Parts: sequence; C-alpha cells; structure tokens
Amino acid sequence: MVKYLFGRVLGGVVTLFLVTALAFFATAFAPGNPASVLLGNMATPERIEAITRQLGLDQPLPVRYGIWLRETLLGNLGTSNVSFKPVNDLLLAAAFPTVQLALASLVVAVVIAIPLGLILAQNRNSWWSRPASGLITLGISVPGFWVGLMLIVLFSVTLKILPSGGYTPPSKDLWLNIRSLILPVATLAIYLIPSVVRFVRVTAISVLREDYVDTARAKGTAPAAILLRHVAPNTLVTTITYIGLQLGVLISGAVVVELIFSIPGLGRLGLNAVLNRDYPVVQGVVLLAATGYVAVNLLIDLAYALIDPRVRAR
Amino acid sequence: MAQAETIDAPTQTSPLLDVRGLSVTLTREGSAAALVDDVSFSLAAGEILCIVGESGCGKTVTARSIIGLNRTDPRFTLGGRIDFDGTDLLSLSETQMRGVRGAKIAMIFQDPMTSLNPLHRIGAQIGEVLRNHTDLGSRAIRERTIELLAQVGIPYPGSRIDDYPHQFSGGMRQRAMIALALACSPSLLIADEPTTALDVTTQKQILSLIDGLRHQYGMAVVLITHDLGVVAGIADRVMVMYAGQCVEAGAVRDVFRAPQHPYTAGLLASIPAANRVRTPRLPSIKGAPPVLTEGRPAGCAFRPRCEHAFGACVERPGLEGVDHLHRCWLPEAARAHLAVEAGRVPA
Ligand SMILES: Nc1ncnc2c1ncn2[C@@H]1O[C@H](COP(=O)(O)OP(=O)(O)OP(=O)(O)O)[C@@H](O)[C@H]1O
Ligand SMILES: [Mg+2]
Repeated sequence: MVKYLFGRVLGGVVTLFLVTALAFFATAFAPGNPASVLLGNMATPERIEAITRQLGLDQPLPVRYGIWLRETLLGNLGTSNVSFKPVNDLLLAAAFPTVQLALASLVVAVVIAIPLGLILAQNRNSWWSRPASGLITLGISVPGFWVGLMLIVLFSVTLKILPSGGYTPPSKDLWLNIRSLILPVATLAIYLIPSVVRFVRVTAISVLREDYVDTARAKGTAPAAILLRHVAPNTLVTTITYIGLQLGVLISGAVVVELIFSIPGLGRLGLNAVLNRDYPVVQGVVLLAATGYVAVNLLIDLAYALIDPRVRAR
Repeated sequence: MAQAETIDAPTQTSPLLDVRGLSVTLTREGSAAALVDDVSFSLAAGEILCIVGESGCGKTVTARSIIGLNRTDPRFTLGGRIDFDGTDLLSLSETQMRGVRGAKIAMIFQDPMTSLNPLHRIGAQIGEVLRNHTDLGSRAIRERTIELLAQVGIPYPGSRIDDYPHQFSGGMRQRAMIALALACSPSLLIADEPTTALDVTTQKQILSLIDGLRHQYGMAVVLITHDLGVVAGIADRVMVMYAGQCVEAGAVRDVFRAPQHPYTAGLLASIPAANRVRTPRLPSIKGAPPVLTEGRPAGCAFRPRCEHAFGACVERPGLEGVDHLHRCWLPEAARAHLAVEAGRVPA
C-alpha cells in the first residue's frame, strides 16, 4: 500500500515537472513579443527593448527557465504583463469559481449517473432498457453548450427564475452564489452524465456475468442486494478509473461553461491571458490546472486502494 | 394405525431429487435451441450422483436448472418436473426459490478463482448465506463461519476468516466455497466440476472432503465430472449425457458392469484404469458431438458416431428401463455385448 502510493506520488511529481517545462517552453517559443503587445501603438524600438529587459526576456532561455522554476517552487509565479497584479492573486481569485463549478458538477453527475447506469444494467432485459439506452447515446452526441443555451432560454429568458450568467462569491451571499451556479452546474453535469451512465451500464452488465454473482444468487441473495453488495462495488472500481480519465473533459467543459455563463474562472483568465500574450498568467493557469489534475488522480488512486483489497496488498 | 405408518413410510423411500423429462430451450434472435432435452434421473438423500459426458452436452445447464440460476433469464425456457423433497421446483415462484437456494440446495462452481467476490472478506461472503436464511446475530454468524472453515480444513480459521480471496490459494478458495455451500446444512449439493481448475493432489483432497462431508451432513451430491475414475471411486449413481439428453442412468455398479448405450461403452473404453480388462489400444469415440445451439441430428443424436447404428436409429429412441435407464434401439442381446467393447469383460 505504502509502496503503491509512493509510486503514484512520484509519478505525479514527474508529470508536474514535465508539464511546467512544457508550459514554459511553449510560451517562450510562441510567436509575438509580449513587450510589443503590451505597448500596443505606443511601441518604439527603444521602449520595446526597455520593457524586454524589464521582463527579463533578453536572458538566454535555460537561464530564464531556471529562474522561473526557482521562483515557482518558492510559490512566486510573477506578475501579470498586462495588469501588473501578482499572478498568485489572479489565480487564487479565479480558481475558486472554477473549483466550485467543477466539483459540484462532478458530484451531481456521479450521484445521478452511477445509480442510473446500475439500474439500466439490472433491467437490461426489460422492454424500456433499449429506448433508455438509445436516449443516453443521443445525450452523448448533443454538444454541451447547446444544453446550456437551452437552459438559459428556459430558466432565465422565459421563466425568469435564474440568472443567465455572472457569479457571486459565497463569501458575499451564499444564496446568490448557489443561484448563480445552478445553470452552469446543470449544463456541465448534463454534459458529463451520458458517457458515465453508458460506462457504468456496460461495466455493470459484464460484472453481472461474473461467477461471484452466480455464487451470490446460489446463496439465495435477493437481486437488489446482489446489485448493491456485489455488482456496485465491483463496477465502481473501474468507474473510478474512467472518471479519472474524464477529468480532461471536465476541465475543458468547465472552460466552455465559464465562457457561456461569464463566470470569472480559470478558463476565462487563461483565455484572456493567451489572447494578450500575458505569459506569466498563462504559465500559472497551466501549472495550476496540471497540479489539480495530478492531485485529483492521486485521490482517485487512494480511493481505488480503499475499495480494492488487491490494490492495498501491493 | 397401520394405515398411518404406511403413509409416513414413502418419505424414506421416495427420492430426494426426482427430475422428470427436464427440457431447457434457449431462444436467441428468434431461433430456439434445445440445450437439455428429456433428462430424467433421481437421487436419494445422502447419495452421490455423477453427471458425465463430453464438453458441451448440457451438464452445466442441467445443474443450473436444478438450483434455478437460469429461470429468470428470459432467453431460457424450462419444462418438465424437478421434484425436490416433494415439491416441483419449477412451479415455485422466484421468491420461494430464493428461500431454497443456499438453504436446501447449494452449489459450487468450476473455477474457485472467480467464484468469490474479490472485494469482500471470506468471512463476510460465508456470513451472507447465513444472514439470508437464519436469524443468527453477527457474533453467532462469525462463530459458525469459523467452525465451517475449520471443517473444510482451513488452518487458523479464526484469523483466515478476515482474509480476502486473493490471500487464499485455489484449493483454499474451493474449500471456502464448500464451507459457504455447507453453511445452512443443505440436503443437496451441486458441484459443477469442482476440481477441474485445481492441481492433481488438491483435486483428490477436495473430492474426499466433499465425500466426507456428505456422510457427516447426510447430504446428497450431484457431481459433474469428466473423470470416470472419480465416478467409480465415489458415486452411487451415474447419468451419462449426450447432446443434451440423458442416454443412460443408473447405479454406478450396473452402468459400469453392463453399459446399455454404445456412447457409455465408448466412454468406459477410453479410461486408462488399472482395474479395466486390458485391450491392446485405448480406443476413443470418433467424431465430435453436435453443437447444441445449432441443433442436433434427427432420430438418435448419437447415430452419426455410432458403430452399431442400424435402420431403427432414424427414429428418436425413448428412455427405457426402470432402475437402469437407457436410450438405444439396439436389441437386448446386442446391448449385453457392449460390456465387452467397454473392456469391462474379457472378449
Ligand atoms: N448462457 C448461454 N448462452 C448460450 N449458449 C449456452 C448458454 N449456456 C449454455 N449454452 C450452450 O449449451 C450447450 C451446453 O452447455 P453446457 O455448459 O451445459 O455444457 P457442459 O456439458 O457443461 O460442458 P463442459 O463439460 O464444457 O462444461 C453448449 O453448446 C453451450 O454453448
Ligand atoms: Mg460445464
């Protein structure tokens, strides 16, 4: 168990290191000089040179990377080239709405999708199973933002009961915060649910064919108890891994949803920074997203070990 | 008074399990295939019946039908009667049948590596059957489970009860499966090739464990096996299946001494047993059995592979006999000669 987790943590650190290098060099080689972007039509060769020196962009690349890495490890991500605010502050402010949106959507999606997939698997032979599965396949092929737009039309434009966008931090007003997140969370959850339902259904159907399910039936255990006690945990083991693989989908989905609902999250921060060639912010966003990704994967590995004794034995 | 006694008496003589004309049909994509067709046999309390036959002849389907593992599968249709302890199991509702499974009829499977849930402790998996059918509290369940593990020969049962299946060897897992099956003292144990996945020494231990426990528990056993040596060693009765049908059934002594069906004779001839009369070569039945999902030959299903086939065999033979059943058109004299072919009697 300790060896298993140690291996996972080590793998996560290596991944993070590679991502930082990638984030740094990708922005360093990107076309366009930040200094000229910054100066806009006030740019003169002298001014560009002065700013370039001020930003440290005249140093050789490996030196710049070394400095950047050291500062990053010390927790200093620099200042924005555009607003001149510390990147740390910008990230912190933007991370909260994103994390809130992503976590709430993931929880809602999982809580709905797993029981739904299990029930579809249990009733795979009934007449409504086929149409229901068809409906889910349809759900997979609907683009996520379309659902969001429809929700806005229905709940904000027609019924006028929920805001069509914007974000209120919970520290200001918890009720408004929840109201501002209902539609974004619904959009993102609806986007995630179909593929998870389908995965759970297919996995649970194969688990139902396992010999130990026959053993449970031969014990006289009732079908509902077999589903809960034997099928659900074994389905969960693989589903957790699948959800880990879906994190990228969750992150990119969160970016789209932030843009639709004008939520001041990491997605919007990152996108604006890319458009402004605000490289310290871009690097910070990539770094934070990668750290989140690695951290969640570690949590998944831990959950995996908690459910499956064979993993604990490693 | 005398009247009452004779009414009580049949519980002693009537069989524990009496299968009559069992049929199992599999319907898939509109086409139906008879996987089991007119299977009949009976078994008294405490007896061991072996079911033998080549791969794919319907042994597992028969066994699963008795305990009702396929009755809720809409693709399967079951017909005939399975009288167990005086009730026809096929007429019971699924809820009633759930009360029978694990309590009065238990089953162990071919592969002990996959028949236990990898995520639950051994003790919890055995405890589940006790929780289903008894009112025992959790402490009593634990004590009974430890006792069961000890009975099937698991060392240190008090600590091994908290192990997970992956901490058990294959032989130990099959022992745990046997403990699980015994938990509610069933009167019938169905064992579908319980030793096929194990090594030879473990095979012997598991079989003698089952044999010992059936004496101790007074439990009848339906044992599916490919090994006719095992049949000769522990079985009281034997049923030979071919292409989903029972082709011969009776006491082991009778069937081995005087096989009444050419298929049985062929199977017997192919055992390399020491107690068999020596023949220069070890013959085997030529050809292969039909694939049941694709249908079986008309008339006698064994006709294409039978060296004795004659005109009558285009008609389907019925199951004949009283105690020693057989399904063959050959006249009695010709059937009497089958023992020689089987190598049971010197030519
Ligand atoms: N669930 C099922 N779906 C489709 N076909 C099945 C199913 N169960 C059994 N069959 C078919 O029924 C036939 C009999 O199978 P069965 O498993 O009873 O054979 P068996 O005598 O136990 O063979 P073996 O010695 O290999 O275990 C086979 O042709 C098999 O393919
Ligand atoms: Mg079988």
